[in-house]
Amino acid sequence: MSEPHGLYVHVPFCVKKCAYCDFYSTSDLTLTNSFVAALLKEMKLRSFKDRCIDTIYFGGGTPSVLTARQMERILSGIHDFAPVSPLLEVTMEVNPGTVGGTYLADVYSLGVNRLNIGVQSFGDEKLKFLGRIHNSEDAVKALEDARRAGFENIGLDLMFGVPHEMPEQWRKDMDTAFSFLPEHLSCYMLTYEPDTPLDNTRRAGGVIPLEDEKVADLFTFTSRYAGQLGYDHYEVSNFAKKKSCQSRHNKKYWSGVPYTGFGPAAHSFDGTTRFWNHRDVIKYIHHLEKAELPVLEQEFLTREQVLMERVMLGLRTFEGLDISAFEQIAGQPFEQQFQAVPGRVEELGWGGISQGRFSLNLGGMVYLDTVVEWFVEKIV
Amino acid sequence: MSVKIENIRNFSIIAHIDHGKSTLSDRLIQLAEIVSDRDFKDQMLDSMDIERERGITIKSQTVTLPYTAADGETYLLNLIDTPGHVDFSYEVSRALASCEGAFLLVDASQGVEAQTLANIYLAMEHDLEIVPVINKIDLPSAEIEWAKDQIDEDLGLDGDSALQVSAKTGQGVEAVFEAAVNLMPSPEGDSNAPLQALIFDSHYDPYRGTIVHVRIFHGTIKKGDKISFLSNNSQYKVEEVGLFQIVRKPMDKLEAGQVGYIIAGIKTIRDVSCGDTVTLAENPCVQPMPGFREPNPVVFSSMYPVASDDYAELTEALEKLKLNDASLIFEKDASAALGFGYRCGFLGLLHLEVVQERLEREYDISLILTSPSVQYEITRSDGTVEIIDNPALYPDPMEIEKTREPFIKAAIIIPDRYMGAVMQVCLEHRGVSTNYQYLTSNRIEMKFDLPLAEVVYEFYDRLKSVTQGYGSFDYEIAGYQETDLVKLDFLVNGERVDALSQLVHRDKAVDRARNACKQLREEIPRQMFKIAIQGAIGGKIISRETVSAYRKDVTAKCYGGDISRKRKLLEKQKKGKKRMKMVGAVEIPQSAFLSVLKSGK
Repeated sequence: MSEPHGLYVHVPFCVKKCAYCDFYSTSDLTLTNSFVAALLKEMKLRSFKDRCIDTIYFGGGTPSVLTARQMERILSGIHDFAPVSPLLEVTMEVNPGTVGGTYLADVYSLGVNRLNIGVQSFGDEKLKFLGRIHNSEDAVKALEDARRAGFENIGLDLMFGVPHEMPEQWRKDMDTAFSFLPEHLSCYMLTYEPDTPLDNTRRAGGVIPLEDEKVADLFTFTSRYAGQLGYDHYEVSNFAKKKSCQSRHNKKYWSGVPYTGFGPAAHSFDGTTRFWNHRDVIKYIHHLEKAELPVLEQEFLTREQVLMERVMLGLRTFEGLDISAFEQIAGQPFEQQFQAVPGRVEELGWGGISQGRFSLNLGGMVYLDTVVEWFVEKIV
Repeated sequence: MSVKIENIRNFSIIAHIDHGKSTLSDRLIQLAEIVSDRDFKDQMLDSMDIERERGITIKSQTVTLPYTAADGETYLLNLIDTPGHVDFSYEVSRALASCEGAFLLVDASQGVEAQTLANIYLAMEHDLEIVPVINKIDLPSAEIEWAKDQIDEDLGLDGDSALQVSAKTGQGVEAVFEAAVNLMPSPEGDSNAPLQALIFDSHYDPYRGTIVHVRIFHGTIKKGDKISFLSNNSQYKVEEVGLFQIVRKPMDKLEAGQVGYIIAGIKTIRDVSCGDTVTLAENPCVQPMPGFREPNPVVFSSMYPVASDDYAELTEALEKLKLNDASLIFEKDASAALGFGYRCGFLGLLHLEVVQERLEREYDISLILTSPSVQYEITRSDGTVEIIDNPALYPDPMEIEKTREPFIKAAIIIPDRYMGAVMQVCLEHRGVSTNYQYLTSNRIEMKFDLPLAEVVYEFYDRLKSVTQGYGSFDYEIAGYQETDLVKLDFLVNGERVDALSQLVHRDKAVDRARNACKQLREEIPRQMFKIAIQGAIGGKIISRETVSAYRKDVTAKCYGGDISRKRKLLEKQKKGKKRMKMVGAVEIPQSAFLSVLKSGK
């Protein structure tokens, strides 16, 4: 058997879409049953036996709009797809405000062993600006319920860089988050993605984004502050209490390991080809009703593209780029390929080579996009 | 497929942009069954990528459609598809010279527009039989009676006799063929007379050399014939003649009345020019065909290859493009910042964009263009008068007695609710309203005198945007008027970049300079040091922006498994990087030069 495979399930439903979000979802919750049926069909169609899966990630959308019964059908359907490793990581994104009653205990008993709670903020005003359906009380309750349900691996998502945000305000969000002793923390910057309501407001002049410089300062502050509290900043937006608490699933994205995505708009990668499904739940269901794969598009990666992805993804992690693995694909020595670039980064004090890896430090990470561009220019 | 001359029809479809020419052509091609359904695609005659992406026709294309009519006879119908945009009227006039008839397409919900009028005048100049066709009758908003009235009143044609079709659904399309057969005259000509063939287009094929597109007026041409071009007496032996049926279809011969192509191993591109007459070397005709009126370029810009080594390729590409785009004119030019290039003349800004895109796509050359300019008439203090279109040649202001700039008479047709907005746009562009009249109860034609230079710069885009696409625009050049001109220079890191200089009206200079500096700040990537970007008139700085050194640019965002999107962004950036030009110590991307051509809006 080759290396273990990751599995992503895109649950394309939200009670209400958040203003900044550009992931695909619909608020027509009447479709959930047909979606689950289609999902099970997709798993059967794509099944393989020669590799096992060791990470499952339910993302969205809002996976927690599915009932525990629906989650159970999906989880048991996964066995139709591929053999499952005993060391399985099953992550589910949940949103405060959708996890009442015994829901969390129910999904825990189904085998979900890692929760990622979409808190975003503990400040009601910020939550309102982001267009979230929950308030800070809901967030606190969800975190408490999660522990009570038995979860020992809890992560939360926070968002920073909203207009006018000052380090003191942001620090409050982090303090509250840390008080729950989460195993994992993801801190995302607010970005203005084309065609989102937030971006439309921005373009109409209704909101003025925080300047890049200030957002970058918040980023640096986050890393230092989390570090003081013992959290390791292991990827540009991710922090873990221990190495064992890092998101094994997300690391697959960053290291070029194959994964299969199920559900509308889900992306898959088989090592050489990337493909993705229709970004429309109805189309998705229709294709599967006809027993057709719901693939919208696929692209075969050229050598150049593979190398580009390795750099762009590898440098996001503080572990950095594995030089010998890179050279194997590139077919030439790292120094020859990138010439003066690694030296320039080192001279600026932004990072360098150690233990066979090229990585950025925090000072360099704030120039990540620039550095990646320098490297990418040399890939021909 | 040889038919009598009486069974040939040469016609064109003319219309305002978006009134459905290409769709109707598609339906006619399908009806004639010259391509299999499997090979059929929309906009069949628009073979260029740019045409398909923008959904417009740039080049006229010819196709020969066999048709068995109700009378039982087989006809060869030569359809010549033409562009609708105002910039390409020249292309239309050439196409019409090889026709006897034209279908005039009118959108059943939009009615007669500015280009409908302009094209019908062109058709009348060529004495064509014009058959009106009302298209898009399937639309819920179709108002067929109203369209008929417009055809009566605005065009002076018989609205009641207009064909009614939906090119989209195919309804009524067969009647178009019948109308071509029954209403349009067959060509006149004598197949036994000396050969007289008009070159109306040509293109370059890497394997076969120049392919000459001709309309045979008299005589016959076949493989093996020795042909001669009347304008320069160059002679070639014919390798192949044939018809256009989407692909080239070789024939034994072409006879009087037919439209087709000649392949004669022509490698010397300059030998072939549109409007020239082809005849046989051994039995030449005496008279050349009347050619076309010379195209009149109104916009000038210099083109430089991003990589200076590509100059030779640019030269060759321009010559090949000229074959296929007779309206393009160019001459050698040089810039201190950009090296050797060409000063080119265009029919309008869209034409400029199209030429640039074709050079980049079809010939794979990255280009830098300088700000487009019109031709100014400058009278020096010593009384000498010269025409200047290149900022580099602008004299010292101390030596200038007076300057005049070209004006146009613009006709704009709009629903009357946009009158205020259009008036505003025209005034902003130094326009003077001269007249307006209601065409129908709610459609109005407004006339303006506008400086051509303003129209070149973003005017058309602004007009489209304020009228939400309902505005139609046509213009003619209307002489020179006195103006107050200044030369605006730009300095990057203290160095004047001559390729960014522009000639502008004094009242607009400060705005233009500010806008351009802002655009440049966005487009010039951060270097390892701070860069000043300045706009100046003479020695006086009138605007300034700064590009700071490295900017913190980390993005901590969740992409999930969608890696492709982020990578594509990088690929785009990388492509942009390849198109950098070093000016002093600063790398300026091609996009920066382009950004200055456009407004900041």
